[in-house]
Amino acid sequence: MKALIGTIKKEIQHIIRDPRTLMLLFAMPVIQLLMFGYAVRNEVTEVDLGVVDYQNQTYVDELVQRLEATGYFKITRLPNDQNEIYDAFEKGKISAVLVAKDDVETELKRMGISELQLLLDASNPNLASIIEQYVRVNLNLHQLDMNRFQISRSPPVSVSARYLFNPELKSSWLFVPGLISVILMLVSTLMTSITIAREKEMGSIELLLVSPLQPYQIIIGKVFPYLVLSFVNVASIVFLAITVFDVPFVGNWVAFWGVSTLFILLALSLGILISGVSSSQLTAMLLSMVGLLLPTIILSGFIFPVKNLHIILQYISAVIPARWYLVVIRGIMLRGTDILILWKEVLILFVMTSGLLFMSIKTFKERLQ
Amino acid sequence: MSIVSVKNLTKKFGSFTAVDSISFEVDKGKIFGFLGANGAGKTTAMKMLIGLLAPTSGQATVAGFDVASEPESIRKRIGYMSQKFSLYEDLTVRENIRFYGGIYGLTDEEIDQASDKIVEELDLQESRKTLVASLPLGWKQKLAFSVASVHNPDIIFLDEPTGGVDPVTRRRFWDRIYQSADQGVTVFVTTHYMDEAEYCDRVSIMVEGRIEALGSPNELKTEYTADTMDDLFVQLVRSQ
Amino acid sequence: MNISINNISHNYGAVSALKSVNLTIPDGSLFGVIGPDGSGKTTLFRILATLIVPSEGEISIGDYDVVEDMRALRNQIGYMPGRFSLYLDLTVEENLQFFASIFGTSLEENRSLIDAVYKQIEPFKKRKAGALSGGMKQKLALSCALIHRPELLILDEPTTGVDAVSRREFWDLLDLIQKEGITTVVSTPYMDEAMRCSEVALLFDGELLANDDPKRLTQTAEINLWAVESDEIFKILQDFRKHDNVNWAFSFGEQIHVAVDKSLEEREASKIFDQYNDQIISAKRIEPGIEDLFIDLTEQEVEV
Repeated sequence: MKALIGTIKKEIQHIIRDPRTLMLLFAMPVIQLLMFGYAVRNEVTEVDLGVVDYQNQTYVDELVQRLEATGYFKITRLPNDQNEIYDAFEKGKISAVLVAKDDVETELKRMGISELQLLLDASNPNLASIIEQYVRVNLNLHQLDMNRFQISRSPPVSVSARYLFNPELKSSWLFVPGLISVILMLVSTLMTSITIAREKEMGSIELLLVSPLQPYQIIIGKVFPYLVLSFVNVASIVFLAITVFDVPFVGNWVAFWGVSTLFILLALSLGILISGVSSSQLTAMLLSMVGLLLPTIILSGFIFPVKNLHIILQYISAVIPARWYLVVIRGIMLRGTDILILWKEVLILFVMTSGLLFMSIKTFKERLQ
Repeated sequence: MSIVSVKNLTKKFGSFTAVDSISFEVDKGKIFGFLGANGAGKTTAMKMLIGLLAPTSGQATVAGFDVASEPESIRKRIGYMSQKFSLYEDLTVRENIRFYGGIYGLTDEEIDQASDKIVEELDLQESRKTLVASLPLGWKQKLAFSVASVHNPDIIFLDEPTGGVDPVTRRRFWDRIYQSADQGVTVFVTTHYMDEAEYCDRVSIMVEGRIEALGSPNELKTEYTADTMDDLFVQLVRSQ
Repeated sequence: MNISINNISHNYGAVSALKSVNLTIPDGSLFGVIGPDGSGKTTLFRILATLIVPSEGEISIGDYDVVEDMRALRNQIGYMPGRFSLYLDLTVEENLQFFASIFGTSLEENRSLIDAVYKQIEPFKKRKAGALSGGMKQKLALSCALIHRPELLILDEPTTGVDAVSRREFWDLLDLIQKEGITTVVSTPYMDEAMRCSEVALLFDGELLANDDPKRLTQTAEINLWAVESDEIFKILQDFRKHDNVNWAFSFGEQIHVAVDKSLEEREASKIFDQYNDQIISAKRIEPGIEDLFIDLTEQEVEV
């Protein structure tokens, strides 16, 4: 018994005296709790709703006022122009569009019923159905209010919803593009960081340093196979997505590979940077997984829409490269968006990639200190 | 009287035979040197004797207990200083003693007494609160030996205790070994320093898993007409 | 190229690994740095190999400075670090080819230089380095360090953990390399290997204890050294140490080496041993070896 107590006591002494373990035990769970807690929210806080009104009706104006008053909707008035509407969807400016084609008031008087059309971006099917419910509920409330003294059995004005970009509401469409970014983080960043850290841990880095090899040669030599591997990975995922999961690919292949190459280079640079601050493979692995992979999964829009995140997390999300990559490839794959429309996201990725590539080579230590 | 008795002890890892049917006896209170090159099988053999590895075949008894069937009984009666590790660097001297004392079932009183004795012996009064990590290597070695003996074992097993250490520390360590042997403790030490063989009462030299020479240093040097154990070893290896 | 080590000090935080070391390593010498673990050998070698910038001091290799001319030097140094020197999952041949390629040369080009070593490992050229014995690994590592015909060969503890026979063979190879005119700097904890160097530096706890041709060091050492044979080594050691005129006494194989006061003449010294006549078999004056010298120098630093 005494031996057992002695062993327990010793373990406690080890834990207390190792700052890294302490951090892992206490800081980590708190951070994760905060991240997950504020990220996982199934309510939608704000819906970007476009409104198209063919006839400039008062009915619609009143409805819009009500919607805005709830605080859940941010309304953008759009002209009756197919291109502009789709443009707005692709740029991510709106998640749904409420279309009022005919004169609602007149129709109500004549036939007693009328209809509004709701177009929803179903790339994220969960979000889309939530938005659909929001709109329906608020429209019904509006009608109840308006027809205070008339008790109808079913609301006279109904909503016909149409799901764009993912008519069958397949969740794979949501996940698969995101999976590409996650797997690239895994292969490119994690594996690159580990392989360079391994040379440091083994001590073989000393031999490479005391040779004519320049830092960029050492880096490219280590990293090139992973570059090729990453391309193979992306190709396999897309192939499987299309054949097995029926995920569409309606956009431009060249654009897709162009942006993906950019992202792969970015992920590799991150791996190199992480290895620079890691003296062991374990450290590299922890940094890659906890410092990079986890935030990427939670904050990039992979599962939880960025809009739904707490505002602070939304700002953090802007720093996560995968967030921008996701917007672009979801657009290309699911909606066939023209790459030029997404120039902002591509530019951000480009700047990030160049910066990280530059830093990774610049900060590669030529000496052991 | 034999305190360690080994007969045809063998250890195979897959198709590789690390220890090939070795046999020898060690008398109580003697210093037995287990010599050989790195990779010759010394550490594997020692690990079987202290109950860390199960033999593939053959027999051995340590302090009267069988190594294959009664390893726990053996572990209570022996002290062990391993090559790779012996003391927790992030604990203080006293904490280390307390821990190992506790494992071997010493009472609190006994532990305190042992701590005092060791601290005084090694002149470590000022370092009571310091972590072992900040002690010089020589002190660590001697401390490790003292801690391994804290429960007054019958036999102490030392695995390459003096690797890389300066000449003075090495010899002072052997002073400590002599002291223990003088008090009746049997010491079983592996080393690849051939000159340390001379300090032992009897030695065995292992080459590729087999014992190629067994006897006192003087006996062996006469038998092989060698001036030093080092020459003897070179002769042995070259004749393979 | 002559190597000039000037006032080198290096600290790792609060720990002082090297304390104001001054050395000259002559061109073409087989130079040994002898010292135990923790003496600063590896730190010194890393500075020499341009891997660390010293806290203080400079080293010049020929006309180059190890800090300023890092790139130029890295072309001309062959380095065998202590902990690692081979890729264990590559074969002997693949290792050689890799190291040849990063130095822009090939196995065939400098074959004559490494021939003596290569002959010993050639039978295993298709075997993975991890499956080689300790001695073979070190020989392969030596070949890889030599393959580009460096001006300076830096070997950090190449014989540690290697069996006695392989160690001797390794030093035979170093003799051959020295004949080719390559300046070789080797570190080792084994005192006996010191005698095989043209010059040695004794290092302990970051300080330089002595530096000279090893034979001259032992010949000019001022130690009044006696070798004693006895059947009761432990007991007699204690007795010697209590004696006022004895500086130190330690076991040395089957003998005891006793260093007595330098001022004592031979007859007075032998009187000391006469006192213990019944316990000792013989006592005679001997010339100190490197290990005796090392003990003498370090015992002066530590109070007995």
